[in-house]
Amino acid sequence: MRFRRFGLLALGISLALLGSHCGPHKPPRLNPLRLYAMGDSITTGFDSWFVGNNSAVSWVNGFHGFWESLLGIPDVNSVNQRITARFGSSGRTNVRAAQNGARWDAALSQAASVVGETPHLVTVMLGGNDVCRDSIADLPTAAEIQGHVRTTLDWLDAQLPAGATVQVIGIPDVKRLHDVARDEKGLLGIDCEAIWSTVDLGFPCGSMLDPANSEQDRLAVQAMNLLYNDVIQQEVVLKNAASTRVYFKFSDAESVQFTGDDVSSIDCFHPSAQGQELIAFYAWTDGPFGP
Amino acid sequence: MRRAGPVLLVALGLPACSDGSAPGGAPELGSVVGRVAGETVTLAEVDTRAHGVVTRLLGRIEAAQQATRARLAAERLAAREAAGEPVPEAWRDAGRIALPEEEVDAALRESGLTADDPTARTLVRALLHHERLRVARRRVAADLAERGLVAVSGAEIEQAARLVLFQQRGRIVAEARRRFEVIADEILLRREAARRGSDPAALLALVEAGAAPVAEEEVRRFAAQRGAPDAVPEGVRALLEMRARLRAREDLLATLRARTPPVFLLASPEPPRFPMDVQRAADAAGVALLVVFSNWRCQRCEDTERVLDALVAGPLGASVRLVRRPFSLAPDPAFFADAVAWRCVVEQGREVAFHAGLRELLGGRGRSRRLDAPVERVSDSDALAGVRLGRTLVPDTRGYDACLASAATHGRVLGERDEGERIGFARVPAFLVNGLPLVGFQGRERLEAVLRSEAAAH
Repeated sequence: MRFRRFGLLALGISLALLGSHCGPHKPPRLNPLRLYAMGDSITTGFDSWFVGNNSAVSWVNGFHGFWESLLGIPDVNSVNQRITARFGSSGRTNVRAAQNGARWDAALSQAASVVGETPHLVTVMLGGNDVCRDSIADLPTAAEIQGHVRTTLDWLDAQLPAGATVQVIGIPDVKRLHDVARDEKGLLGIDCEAIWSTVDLGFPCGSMLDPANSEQDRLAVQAMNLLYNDVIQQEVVLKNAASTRVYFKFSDAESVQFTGDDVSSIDCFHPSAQGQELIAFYAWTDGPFGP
Repeated sequence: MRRAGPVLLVALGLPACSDGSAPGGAPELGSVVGRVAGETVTLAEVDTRAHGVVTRLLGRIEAAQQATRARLAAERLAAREAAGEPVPEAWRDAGRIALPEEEVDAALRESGLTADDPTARTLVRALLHHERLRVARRRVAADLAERGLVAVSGAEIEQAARLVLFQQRGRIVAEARRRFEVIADEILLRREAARRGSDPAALLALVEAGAAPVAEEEVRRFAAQRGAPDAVPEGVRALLEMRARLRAREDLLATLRARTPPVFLLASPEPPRFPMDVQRAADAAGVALLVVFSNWRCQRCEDTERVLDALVAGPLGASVRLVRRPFSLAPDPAFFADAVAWRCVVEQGREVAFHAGLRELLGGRGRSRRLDAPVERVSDSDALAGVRLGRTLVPDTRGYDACLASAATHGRVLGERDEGERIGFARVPAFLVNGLPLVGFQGRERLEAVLRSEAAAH
């Protein structure tokens, strides 16, 4: 049974609702022609199709042209593609600041380049590597996450052009990823437990995937996962209520219910191309520019 | 993509209920999917909670059925054409593929191959032509089938797509089970709370409050045991306290489940089988047939080779016949070149040396690695590594070169790829164990367990 979260979020939402009625007036929202994606290996499309980074199938920066079509690389209909479809290709930029292995403590350095890029839409999908540490003892506290989020949002608020949008995507439910991937074996699918057994050799996300973990360990990590999402959401909602220049939007990724074929067949850990397509769908439909 | 109404009804028209709750016909909303302590859980209750996921999985089932219908229609039209029977004009038009040299050049460049290498050009041209033809004809066949000009029955689609359908339907049942388990826990908690004159939230609060406090020593020991001596004590304490509360809650639920075990009644679908021609020979020899669809460059393919090395050298080695299908669904020129070279060395009896040599040459690119390690890419210069290696191994190099350039060889390799696609393999490595498919990397224990199970069944 899933661990239930407490009242932190309720406080944030209440303040945000207050803010939405009484908050400062903002300039008109800019069309998202200049896209800037912060994040981790989910955003780089790591192991989603071929081994390593797969920019073409990234949920946010992905693209699909002649060569992708020729090689049979899936079309994930990324946020980038949806922007072009809706707003045209004139004046478009598509920048990836995401780095494999990045955690929330790297957010500020990823945000540094916005000064030169002047993006209209910044997407941030971080936290997977905060939940996925080598050991569950390494998990950061919710307060640490909160501090990184606050600092990063403050920086973006100060540096982005007026009317820009920051869309922060929450952390997917990593335990669900674990559970559905594990069940694949019973469906004649990939033997994820055999892959995860290489955790001792340095496979990432030992905090969730190490076979030595008990179910209580995994539930505890899931509880932290949900708690991080609560504090991230709270910070985003509060920032949006306070900012006079920039729109801040939180999109829930816990409700992205991955199934077995949404998980990479290469590492049983990252989203597959189908999983990337799913994230793109959720992010766009929940964002301010879709559907 | 949101569907109105109960999607599980649609989904469960396929796998049957095992307790006869919907005998001989489609289930109804009131159908029982499980029982908990004398209470029934209905399809409607599970449907409400699983609606989004099941809707998506149903969408994937429909997509697989449409793709299969297009494939079957294309195969039917190709057979008619080969037999000299009349075919629609659109089909003939789709077969007229123009492949400009600039596109071949672009593909060569993208693959890191030299444009003036005649072998590379021949291979890339053959691959591009096959892909173009396949895509164009599938598109036309899908349209003709849609308009009823090529008949493909639902039963044929069901049979041809059985692996994909099995997996997606299995995921639907697994999702229903997950939701049922949550409902079952809620029922058990409610009943237990009522028995104690309380309510579930108060009962859980009481149980969690009873969790043992976390001592300083425990925090230090935990961090040291988990190899995290620098972990923040405050964070470790919060985690341990949370874990203790969860354990208290889970202990209560485990007790309740043991007292009155919930019974889930939906049956998983039966796994499909794909017997191959070579199966008969293996059966006659009294060995299991293990067909491996793999290549030398994919991630996990080298891991697979090491699993196979250990399996063949182990106690089951003598009772397995291993058949290789160099395979990649991705129409990548490097994979294709390796597979063509493989076919040509097999003709001259040098497959063992080729297999070992190519593994060595590619340096185990298919091994697992740390996330933050630099990813080894197949370098620009070795897309033809297999082709060059083969030439050094065969006694008849002229015959080998002729084989590399032969349309028949290309057709055979591409035919094996199509064979994998027909089974429903969408990724490598993949396996058939006496016709039972396994998709994706498999550990040695898993492969041996399946082989033992097959031996026991026969």
